[in-house]
This record gives sequence, C-alpha cells and structure tokens, in this order.
Amino acid sequence: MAAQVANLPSLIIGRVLTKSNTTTAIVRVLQMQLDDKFDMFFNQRIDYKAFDKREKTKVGDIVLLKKRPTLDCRYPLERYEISEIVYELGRIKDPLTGRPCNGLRYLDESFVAKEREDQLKRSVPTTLNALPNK
Amino acid sequence: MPAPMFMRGAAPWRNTLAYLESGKIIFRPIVRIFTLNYTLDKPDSDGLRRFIFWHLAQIQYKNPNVQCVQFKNTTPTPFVSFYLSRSSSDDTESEANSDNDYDIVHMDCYKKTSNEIHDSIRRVMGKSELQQRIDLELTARLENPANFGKDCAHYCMCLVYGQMSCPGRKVLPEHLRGKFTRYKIDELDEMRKKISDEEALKEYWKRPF
Repeated sequence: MAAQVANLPSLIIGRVLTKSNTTTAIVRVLQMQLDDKFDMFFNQRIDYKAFDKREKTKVGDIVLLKKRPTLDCRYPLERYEISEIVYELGRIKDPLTGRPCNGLRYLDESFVAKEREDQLKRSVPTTLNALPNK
Repeated sequence: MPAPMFMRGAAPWRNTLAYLESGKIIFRPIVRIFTLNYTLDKPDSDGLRRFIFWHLAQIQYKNPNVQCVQFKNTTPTPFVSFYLSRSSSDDTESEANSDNDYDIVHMDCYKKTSNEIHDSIRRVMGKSELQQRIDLELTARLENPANFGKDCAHYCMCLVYGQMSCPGRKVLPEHLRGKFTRYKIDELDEMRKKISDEEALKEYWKRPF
C-alpha cells in the first residue's frame, strides 16, 4: 500500500477494483498530490480494502467509503466499509434530475427522437422571432 | 537549452506557489469530498471546465484534507457536489461518535460562468473572511518558531538547540550574571584573571546542570 494521505479521512469516494469474496472489495481511490518540483497536482491511486455489508457492489461501481468503527474491523487493513453506491455500473442516475443516463445522454428520451429534433432545429434556423409583421 | 524549464504548458503561472497560495476558497471543516461532474465537449459545462482549469489546484492546495474527484462524461449536465460529514478523521475516535451520517449537497452548473461557480461555492461552503482571519491569528503564533510560550511550538526558549539553558536550573557563567556585572565587579575581575570569558562559556556548556 502506498503512503496514505491525511491520516485516513472518514469519507472517501473510489471505484471498486476487485472483489475477493462477496464481502471484501478492494477500492481504488484517487487523491491529488502536489508534486514538489512542478507545483502541479497529480492523481495518486491508493487502494483500500473495504467491507461490504450488503454485497451488492459489482466491479467498476463508484462507491462511497465510510470509516469503520475500530471494534468491527476484522483485520488491521480493513478500515473502511462501503456505505453507499454513488454510481452503479451501467445504471448511472443523474442526481439532479433522477433520470438514468449514459454518458452524454439521458436514457429516458429515445435516441432517435432526439436526433430528429436536433436535425429539425438545424435545418430551420431561428425563423421564430424573425417576422414581427405577420 | 530550453529556457524557463518549468514554465511550460497552458497558463503556466497556475503552477506557481504564489498563485496556489492566493486561493480564496477554504472549505468549512464539515466538507469531506468535493465532486465535479462535467462533460468534455458540450458548451453547457464550459464554465465548469474553466473553473477546474483555473481554480481546482488552488482549492486542493488550500484544503489538503478534502478529496477532489472529477467525473468526466458520466452525466449530460454538469454539476458539483459536496459530501458533508461531521465526524473528524482521528484514529482515536471512540465509537460513541454516532454522527457518522453524511449529507450530500449538489450544485447545478449548467451554463454558468466560472466566476459564478466560484462565488457561489465560496458563499455556500467556504469559510468566511472573518473566520479565515481568526484561524490565521490562532496559527500564527504556532507557526513562527521565534515565538515561545503558551500555544507556541516550544514552551521555553531553552528547549531549542543552541540556546542557553534555563538560568533557574543551570547557573550562568559569572560574566553574564547581573549580580557580578553590576555589584560585584571586583570579584568579576578576579575571576577573569583566572579564566577568560570564552573559557567560562565553554565550561558552562560542558556542565550538565
């Protein structure tokens, strides 16, 4: 395990790398580290082992880790538990609107209809406000 | 030889310590994670992209304990979210700290300019100017190694390597004591005939107490 930044912060977001068994997941977390010579921030990848109560996470989910109370840890490396799945693999939900989305488009509206709309908008440019006398 | 070796790339003054130090957003201690969702191509998230280009390094520099994560091309609309939690990140926290719940605050950035985003983040999640000044004053005494006393790096100057020991514990050489320099000058002269000042100092350093 590489050097840990800031003494184990209590909340962390990371991506599930592997699941050794259904309850343990290795989560890769990105933290920005200042490079001395360049004074630029680069992402540093740290892998944490996390405990997964609900066993629902898949490899590739983006997951929120919460610090585990020290009494429940089964071994000293296991400091975090998975508390919530932020973005599930394949079923990302936009938290502002609540609609399922896939990268650059929403999955609610059909792709074909949107393409038609865009085509119509492009071929009839702004004639809506151009004729006040009619 | 290529001239300014490190001042390369787009807007390289972003990578100077002076610029990083002059960041204005310091998050309140509640904020733990700062998430940025944006798209790379669409004009809607142009403001957010500029904000990241100019200001993210400053924010991360001023808040080393906050995890700043960028999610690119996950959702069509750009937004910024904060994960807040009251529990601090000490290892010696007892389990009685039941305030382990977290809140999420989302902030929409659709078609906003980077200045608007910067200002609203500062107003919502940033420490106010007054609070920053208070914090500065509290830590200034601690940071300056010349200060000693309560709330400072060392309690007494005798703890610093190279300084004289506490005169209450270790008697100073005679030429540095007021008793001899002001009142008993004759005795001082007698002692100076035997040992010079420098040698008296050397013996002072050799003595354990």
